[in-house]
Amino acid sequence: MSTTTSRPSTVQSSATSLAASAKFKTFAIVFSLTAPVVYVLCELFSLPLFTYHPATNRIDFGWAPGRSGEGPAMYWYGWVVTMLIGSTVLGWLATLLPEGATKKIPLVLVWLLPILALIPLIWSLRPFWEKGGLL
Amino acid sequence: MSVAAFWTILLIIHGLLAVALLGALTHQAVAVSMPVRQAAGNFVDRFRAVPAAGYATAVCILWVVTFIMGAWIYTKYRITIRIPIEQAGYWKTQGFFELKEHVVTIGLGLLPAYWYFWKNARDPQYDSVRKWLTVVLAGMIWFSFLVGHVVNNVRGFGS
Repeated sequence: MSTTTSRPSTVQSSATSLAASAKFKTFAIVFSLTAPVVYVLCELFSLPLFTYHPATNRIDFGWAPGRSGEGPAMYWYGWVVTMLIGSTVLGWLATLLPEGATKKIPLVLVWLLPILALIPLIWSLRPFWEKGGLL
Repeated sequence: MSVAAFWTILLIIHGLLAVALLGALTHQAVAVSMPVRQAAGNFVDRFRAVPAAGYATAVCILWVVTFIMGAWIYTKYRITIRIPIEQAGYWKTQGFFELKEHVVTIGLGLLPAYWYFWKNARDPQYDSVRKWLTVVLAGMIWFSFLVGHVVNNVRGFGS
């Protein structure tokens, strides 16, 4: 008998009402399924919710180029917030669907999609791979 | 306190949080991938025999806090670290750092499902997805930790 992970006896009793909620299950799975997709779309199509200019602490709504003399522009924060908002909305919308609809989602996608998402992200970084030396 | 010392302290806290997250996720990934079948004996068995389900909430909190710390440091990094790295021609180093950003963000998005599957560890329909999701997250944190370490070696705050 396993002494460890598969069926820890303490888990059932410590499960919160949130973990027992069918709606939260739907939300959590759809959020985690859509987050990599939304993030990749944001990155590939330059869709940050906002652009941050760290040298001047300025924030522009949406995508904005770096301004001359004001240092670089950062889009990552905008992508992260877009992903969080987008996946939250999609997860919430999924909770409005009949439970049977979301039960058809293959759970393997929850860990497979994030790996597949890395392919276009690595591809999008090709300028870094094509330049310079070993490191 | 100098500006460099301030950011270095933040970076060390970020690194220590990452170490805690790395340890927790590695324990959990090993335990769920190679569960022990009998009472723990040697070091490796004891490493595998941790009560992995109890790590889930801590892993989520550590991931979020480490992420926030990293996001804070990133503002300074973008100007004082990345520009010199690019000027020195370490493009692949910078490329891996960009990939680390992507990896930790995608990992952040996986946390709700990860937490749910571990909080329902008695449900056998989640055994496979729980195991592989944990292994993927552990791989992500190992990659991110090593890249962060190398980038800090190439150009740390105050250097």
